[in-house]
Amino acid sequence: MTLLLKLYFMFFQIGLFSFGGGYVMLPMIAQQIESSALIPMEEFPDLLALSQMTPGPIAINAATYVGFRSGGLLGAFFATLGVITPAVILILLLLKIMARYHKSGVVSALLYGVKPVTVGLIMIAAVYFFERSIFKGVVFSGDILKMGLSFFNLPLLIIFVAVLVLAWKGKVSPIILTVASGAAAALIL
Amino acid sequence: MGKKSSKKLLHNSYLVRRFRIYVQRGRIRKTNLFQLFVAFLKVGSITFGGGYAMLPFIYREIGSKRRWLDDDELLDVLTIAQSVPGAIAVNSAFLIGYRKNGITGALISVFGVVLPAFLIIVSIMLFFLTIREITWIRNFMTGIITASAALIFMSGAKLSSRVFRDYNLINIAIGIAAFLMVGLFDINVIWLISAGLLYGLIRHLAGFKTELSVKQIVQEKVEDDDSTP
Repeated sequence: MTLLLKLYFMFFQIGLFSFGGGYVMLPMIAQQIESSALIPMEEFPDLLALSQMTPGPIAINAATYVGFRSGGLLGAFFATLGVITPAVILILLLLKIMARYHKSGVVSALLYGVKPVTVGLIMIAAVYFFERSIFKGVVFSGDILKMGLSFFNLPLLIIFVAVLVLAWKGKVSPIILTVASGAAAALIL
Repeated sequence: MGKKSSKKLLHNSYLVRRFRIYVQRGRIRKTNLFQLFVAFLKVGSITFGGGYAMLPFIYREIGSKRRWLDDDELLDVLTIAQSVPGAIAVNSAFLIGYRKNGITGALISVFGVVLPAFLIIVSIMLFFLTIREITWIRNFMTGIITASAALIFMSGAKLSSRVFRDYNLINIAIGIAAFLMVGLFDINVIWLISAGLLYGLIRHLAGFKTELSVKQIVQEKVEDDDSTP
């Protein structure tokens, strides 16, 4: 029971402070996973990989993953419910008071203030996963000195650059790039 | 006689018009709950990556295909969905369902949009932990994480070019500070988001006009996403 409540409120917090879309939430989800110790931190990149491969919002995927992993089906249900609840409450509140406050511009002013923070957070997520995959996680853990020249993975770096170019210039669909990268890595590595 | 019938005709056509409006309103307000559920089940099960990638699809499904809401109403929905935290697809589902069938419709729509992700993750989790250590699975996952890093970097670059477009030095400093605080000192993200909200509030109270309206932001998002299907 306490586990279910813990899951609910952990994802309630994540839902309450998630502005700017899925990727922006990733650092917060990572911090919450680390401090709650509900699932091992090594699984966090797997969580991202599964979210990318499966349909649906990242927040829902993450809540279901962490909830199911630590509390079974009920855990998944409560975590997912938790991540949705704040938005539902706030939307209903906003609909009630909207006529008055939306015009005054408070809401868009608040969002304007959060925007620069979300840029910093999304870049953190990018650097974190770049380091985890291409540098095998040794840069942040401080093991880089012991590794010699084998500290980074050249094929993965090539995949990274290829995805960047194809998504940006070639406008190739993200899901195709994601699955193709997985297949390429499975074949090469 | 002629006068009377034309008056009657006028009266009739007035009634017909009101009735049409009434019926249309009725149709706009109420949709079959099952249809609502199916529409969002589709939205939730086809769109990958989540977030803004879902928006064009929601537009197509609810707007141009089913004509449940017109463009203005959809823009309203997105404006509000943007204004509160949480997944944009879930927020949009709630608002569209609410507009059509009240709170019941809202909850049914959210249930529909969330269900596919929930079921798929649960069914993967049934066997994932036993296969995650297999070498080629491990490598497959690593490849996906690498691709994700590139995609996240790209969306971060797009976001920053938009947010920092006005070369406002305070905003750029906040962005860099947020990056360093989490990256180097592992400051809780919740504090940083709260600080951002506070900064927006102070700006507002100090009389600064917010240059970008939410509507503009939403439109830009949708334009962005049209280019990446």
